[in-house]
Amino acid sequence: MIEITNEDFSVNEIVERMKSPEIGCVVTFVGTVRSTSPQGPVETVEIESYTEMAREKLSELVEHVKKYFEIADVSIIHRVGKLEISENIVCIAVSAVHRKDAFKACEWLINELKKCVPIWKNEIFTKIVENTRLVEILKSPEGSKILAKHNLPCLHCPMATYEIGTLKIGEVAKMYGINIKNLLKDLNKNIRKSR
Amino acid sequence: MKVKVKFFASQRKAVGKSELEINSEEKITINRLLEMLITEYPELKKLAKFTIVSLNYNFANGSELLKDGDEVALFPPVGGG
Repeated sequence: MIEITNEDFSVNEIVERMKSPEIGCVVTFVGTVRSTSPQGPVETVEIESYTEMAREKLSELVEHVKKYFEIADVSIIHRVGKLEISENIVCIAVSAVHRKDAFKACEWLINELKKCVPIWKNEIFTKIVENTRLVEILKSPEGSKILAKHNLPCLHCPMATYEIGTLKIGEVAKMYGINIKNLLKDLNKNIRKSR
Repeated sequence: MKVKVKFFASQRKAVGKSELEINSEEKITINRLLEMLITEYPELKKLAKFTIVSLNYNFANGSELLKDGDEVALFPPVGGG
């Protein structure tokens, strides 16, 4: 089964549909929306597809794995539209008599899907505000550089590592007498620019 | 000869529409079609290095000769999953 849809899916339902007395396993891969990217904190993701071509390419991929791996069946569901953090993006399920080729085929499918199926993810970034946690900003390499440029002290000592998880950028700026307005302006302008 | 051209993601934003139809008296290749599109939509030139072209749902190399009823699409490198 190949599906490109606006609707969410249930992994359990997909797995149940693929079960049959002859098979011994169903291997699944589920891709979900991450809250961070190298470019900064992500708020939502918009997924767009060239649906007719995406279906064709997915069919070709399924044909390929059925030919070259010892598997029984494949289901691929990819969502499009606006998705929130942690929502399902894609599910690839491969059933087989034995697990070895099911794992291999599943990994091959997701790798190829990312290379040749016309689907695009547009990440919508969260604006960094005083309440944004330091840890979110530091996930972006550009964020770390900007914090260093604004003289935020020692982000690598053990105490700082502990604090990074809980502290908010506004609190830190206040603590060290850093101009928060300039810092936020710099962060919001340059983290996106590095895309 | 009529050819349908579709645009996705950044290429759609550059052109400002998702689809258009090209009428041509003479037979043209995809590369010639791209030149015509860039003349009409100069923003596409900036994306040239990041533009992938397909013909009837298959990736194209540009040298293909177009025929009546073909569907061409322009889009950025893919990135689903």
